[in-house]
Amino acid sequence: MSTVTESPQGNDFALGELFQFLTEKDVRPQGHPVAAAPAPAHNGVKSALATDEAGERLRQLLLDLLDIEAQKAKANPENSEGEQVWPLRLRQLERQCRDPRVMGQVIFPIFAVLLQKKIAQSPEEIIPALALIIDRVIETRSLSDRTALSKVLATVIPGAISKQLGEAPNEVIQAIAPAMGKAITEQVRLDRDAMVDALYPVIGNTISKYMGEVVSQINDRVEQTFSLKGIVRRLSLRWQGISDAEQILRDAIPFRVQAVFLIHKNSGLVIADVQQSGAQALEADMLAGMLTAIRSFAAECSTDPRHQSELTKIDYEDFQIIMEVAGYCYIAAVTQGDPPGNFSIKLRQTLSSIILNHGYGGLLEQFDGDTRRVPDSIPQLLRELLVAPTVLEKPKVRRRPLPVGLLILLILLGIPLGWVYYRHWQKQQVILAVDEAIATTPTLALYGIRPRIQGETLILTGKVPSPDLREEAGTVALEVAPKFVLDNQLLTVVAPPDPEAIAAEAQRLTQSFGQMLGTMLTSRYDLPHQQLIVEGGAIAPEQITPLTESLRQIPGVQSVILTLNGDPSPTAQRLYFNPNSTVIAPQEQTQKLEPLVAYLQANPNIRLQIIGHTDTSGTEKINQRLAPERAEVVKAALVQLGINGDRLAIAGTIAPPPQVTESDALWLSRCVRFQVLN
Amino acid sequence: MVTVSKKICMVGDFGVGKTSLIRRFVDREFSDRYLSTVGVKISRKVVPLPPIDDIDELKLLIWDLEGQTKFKAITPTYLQGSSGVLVVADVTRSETISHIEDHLQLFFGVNPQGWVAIALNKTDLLDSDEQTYLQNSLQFNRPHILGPYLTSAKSGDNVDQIFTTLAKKMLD
Repeated sequence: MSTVTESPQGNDFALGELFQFLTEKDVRPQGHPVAAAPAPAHNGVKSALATDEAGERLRQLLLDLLDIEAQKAKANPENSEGEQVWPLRLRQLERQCRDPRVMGQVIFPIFAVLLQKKIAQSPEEIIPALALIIDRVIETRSLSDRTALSKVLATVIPGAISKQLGEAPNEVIQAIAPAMGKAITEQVRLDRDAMVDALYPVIGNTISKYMGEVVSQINDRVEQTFSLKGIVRRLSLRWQGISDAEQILRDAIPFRVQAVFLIHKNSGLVIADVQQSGAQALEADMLAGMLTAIRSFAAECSTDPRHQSELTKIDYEDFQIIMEVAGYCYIAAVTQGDPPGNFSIKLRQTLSSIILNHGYGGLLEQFDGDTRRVPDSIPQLLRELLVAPTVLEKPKVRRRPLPVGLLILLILLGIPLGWVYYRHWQKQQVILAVDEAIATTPTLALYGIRPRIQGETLILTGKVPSPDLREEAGTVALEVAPKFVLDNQLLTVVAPPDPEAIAAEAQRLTQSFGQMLGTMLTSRYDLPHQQLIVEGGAIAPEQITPLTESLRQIPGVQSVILTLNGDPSPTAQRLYFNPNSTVIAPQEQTQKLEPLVAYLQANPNIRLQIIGHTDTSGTEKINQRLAPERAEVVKAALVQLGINGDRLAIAGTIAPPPQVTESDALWLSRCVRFQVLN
Repeated sequence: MVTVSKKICMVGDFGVGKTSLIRRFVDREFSDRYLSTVGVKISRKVVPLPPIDDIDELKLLIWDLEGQTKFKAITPTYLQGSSGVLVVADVTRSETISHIEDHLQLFFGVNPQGWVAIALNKTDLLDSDEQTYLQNSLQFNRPHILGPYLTSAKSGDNVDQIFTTLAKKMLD
């Protein structure tokens, strides 16, 4: 193949024809001058190519072809077309090489042979090539014919698993493990008995061992538990004579009586039998017979011949046969679960009542298998064992009585103690209610009012600042505790005065008085002596008492001391005006101007300057005008009262008068004052 | 429907065919294989009866006791409460026949009012002359004893008869 494609020359032999030649016998181009390789005579192509000889032949053939073309060219040197034919044929050859149909046809018959040969020569090269698709090959095959593939693989898979189990057991285990559960389930579904048989030898022992361990563990834990609950539980069980483990088992498997038989002791014949409905009925006759035989056998085997021993219990699987034996008959109860202690008592009671009611007359002793002679009451008694296996009709086991004396003592002690506690609790509730009521009353909330109860009396203690609050506290307390008698022990305590508040109040009052009296008064508070000292200009003597009385009303002021400047000089007086006014008030006229006139008339040499002032409230322009106007008005008034106007000069200023500052009251600045000129 | 139950016991030396007789009577089967009975095996067979005393059927509880050997006697306790007993001997073993008397004494000692049927078993192994001779030579003309019956568990000869006869006697 490679020889053909790499050759620079070509020929008009199609590639298909070449292989056709190779695969068919004795087909050779006519006129071939060089018959280098002998034709395969009778053997098939496969056998021819199966040897190296075939490859050699192929090569030789291709060389021959080239040779033919060369000779053709020599034979026709004048044929110019010959030169041009070569590239054309080469392209044709290439095209054919790329045509899968042609190539397929060519390779198909010998493909298997080639493959076999290649595998035989160098398998390592084939393996990677096939490895790429081997999975898909198997998949495709499994889809097309599952049975055939299964058949092929069936023979090797067990061996493969065995080998793998030996070499890498964990891999196999991990592969199989997820399906184990389902596999077992399916096997149980298909053949339960086979599974039971397979597991029986180990399961029974395993469960027994496990159960034993679990019960032992639980019991240990309960034994070690000293909690109140644990102790109470244990005491309760001990009281009934039951171990904890027994109780746990009982809880796990509820006790149930499946069947009860009354059996004639000698013959093993069934006198009466009752069974739970719904359950599979037991073969009473056979069971009774075998039980009797076993009992007889056990009695025969008894080591002590002096007294007959009785078989009382047989265990099988999770069932028990409990037997209670009397003289001529015995009861056999087939039970499930751990029988409670009461059950054996119940059995005994039932057998006793059967014997007492029916034992005489030889019914039981001479029972001959004729059940018609058995009264109905016997099955009824037996049925009791089925229905209520632990309910005793007449409990013969007397419970230990409770210590009645101790109980009574406890009650006797408990009642008064309880009453006392209850009363105490009740009082506490009332006190809490009163506390809350006081706390939610705003006027009382601040003061530490403490309520307490003594007998039927509600006592309030603490301090309040006023009698009113004291009364209010009493009222509030009685509202929430109306059944109690109130003892209001609240003290009324005057709160210590606030010096600043007193001083401010006193100052306000003093100044008001000063304004009213037309003089300037100030006050200061002397805290240690609770004295109020008032200083300022003189006031009329009849005004002194009202002033001191008023000041004394201020809380915290015990005494008032007046330090006034004696009799005031008429020229030292100041006339005060209303705001923006130039009108002289009448009292100013009489109390200040008239004395001044008298003083001036008495002292004719004295000249006065009249100075007008304004407060700072108005505009400066108005005040500039207002200040001299006030002086003018006062001069006019003095002139009118007979004073020579020459003696009076006027002036005006918007500045406050002497001794008055901007922080003082405004009215102190709205004035006219006098200044002696000479 | 009135059913009365009765207990009967099979007594005899080992290997005389007690178990085989029961199998023939109860299960209608026979096997040549010898299986020694250990202790007791109990079988039950309900025998329909013509109306006697208003009883419709009799339930037989058949106690197959372990055969007596010279080392081990029959446990008398098993015989208690048994209304009847089937004493079995093997016609091919004379000693088993001679032990019949012992078994009778044992049973009547326990149940003086009981009934006994005597089965001479394996008669299929005897020819007719031998059978006739045997029947004539063995006579138990005593009260409460039935038979002897020539029985064959293998062929079933006299098996049903011996059991039903004994059953009816026990009901009388």
